[in-house]
Amino acid sequence: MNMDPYQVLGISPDATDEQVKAAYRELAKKYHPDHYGDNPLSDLAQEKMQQINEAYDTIIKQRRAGRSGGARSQYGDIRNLIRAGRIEDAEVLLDGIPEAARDAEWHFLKGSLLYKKGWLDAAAEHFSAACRMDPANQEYQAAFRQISARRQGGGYAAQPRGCSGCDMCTGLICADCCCESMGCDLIRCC
Amino acid sequence: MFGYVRAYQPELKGKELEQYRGVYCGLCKTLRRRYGRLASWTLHYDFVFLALFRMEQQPGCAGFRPLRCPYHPLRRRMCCRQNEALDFAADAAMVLVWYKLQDTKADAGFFGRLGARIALLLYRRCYRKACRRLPAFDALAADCMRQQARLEAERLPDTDRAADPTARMLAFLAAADSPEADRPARERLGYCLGRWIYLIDALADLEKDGRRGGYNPLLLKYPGKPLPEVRAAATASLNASLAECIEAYRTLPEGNFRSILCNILQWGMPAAQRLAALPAAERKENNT
Repeated sequence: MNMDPYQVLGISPDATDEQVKAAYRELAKKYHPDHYGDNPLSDLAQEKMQQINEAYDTIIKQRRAGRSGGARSQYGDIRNLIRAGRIEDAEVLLDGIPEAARDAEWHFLKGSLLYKKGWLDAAAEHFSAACRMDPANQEYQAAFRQISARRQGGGYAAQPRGCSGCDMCTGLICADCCCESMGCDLIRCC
Repeated sequence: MFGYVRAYQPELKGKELEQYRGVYCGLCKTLRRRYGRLASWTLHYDFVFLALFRMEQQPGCAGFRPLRCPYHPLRRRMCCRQNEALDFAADAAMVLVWYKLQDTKADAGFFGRLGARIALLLYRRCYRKACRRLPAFDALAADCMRQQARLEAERLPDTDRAADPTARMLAFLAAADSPEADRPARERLGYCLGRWIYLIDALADLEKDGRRGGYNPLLLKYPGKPLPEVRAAATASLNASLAECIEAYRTLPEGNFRSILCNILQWGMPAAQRLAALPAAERKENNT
């Protein structure tokens, strides 16, 4: 099953490692098979438990990968700066990375930074670039999906619903038909 | 600010409509009291949003009473009692009107420039008064207008950067004097609202700017694309900005005017967006 691991744990993609751990522990406690015994819900709980384990492993693996190796070693610091709201500092560090070394993670971080700044158009472009460069990464996918949904108008109630003059007329005609079938009349003329 | 941020009346309850109109009347009255009759002509609904948003921070009832005024001499209308939020919105309105006129003076046609010059003369005293009351905002607005002029001179094809000055001004207004805990959310709302206002104005002016060669970041960002595609791209950006506004608003503590403000954010602004995305010729007949 290919679900967003952050959604499974019920946390946002910019949660700290501690928050990830805490969320995992809480859910694991809730769905632990020991609590269910012969209860008919135990199968469901087991399935849920498996999902939680997988989600946790994915997140930890992703985060470790993000922190190790060459130019990538900076990304962990930049991530922390963005999380702490120090946008300018993070931007200086990110822009300092040479253009040749800019990979999917770079675009994702740049997108997150611009998003926090409120530069939503450029943020969407960078998230999309990150997804193109590394289509398997769940974190990038989740961020891109969220911003795309909002761009398509998923952030607010849709068109005004309601009842027009036509709806009222048809309603009245229906009511009249019902009345007539029962022997009386609602609207005399029809 | 241009009057796009308004309520969608069919979705307002009776009492909400009355309150909304009452705040409009109250703001008009405040402008007249503080700056004279001339100032009340500059009133539009964006500032009513600002006043409502600020009033929500204050505990207790704002207080409404029926009043007659020169614009509605026959029937008494509910009018919001004077308060600090109305004063603030009126002062901010005068500062913004001044810079808007400066902007018109700089880049309108001959008659536009002439009109702006006359208006600047007339509003000079109002502006000086407002400036004394909100010196920090005046300094920020002056800085933002300089930045805007630079961007326009460079003809930058970047919507985010072009919307930044307006957005920063609104972020300041939305978060001014707010409790420290609410500040980030209010700033975020103000920023995205300002961005939305700038972009919807650019969207509404697409045809005019295309004809006259005026600065329009949307036309520069999507050069040579047919207008419907540019409109779709602009709508996507507006949607994203609006979604951020709504999300930020939901995290704020609930006040007396939540239902009206929600109406503006969830119904009024999307309606304005749909209208602005139509070609100019079709707008009149769809304006309901």
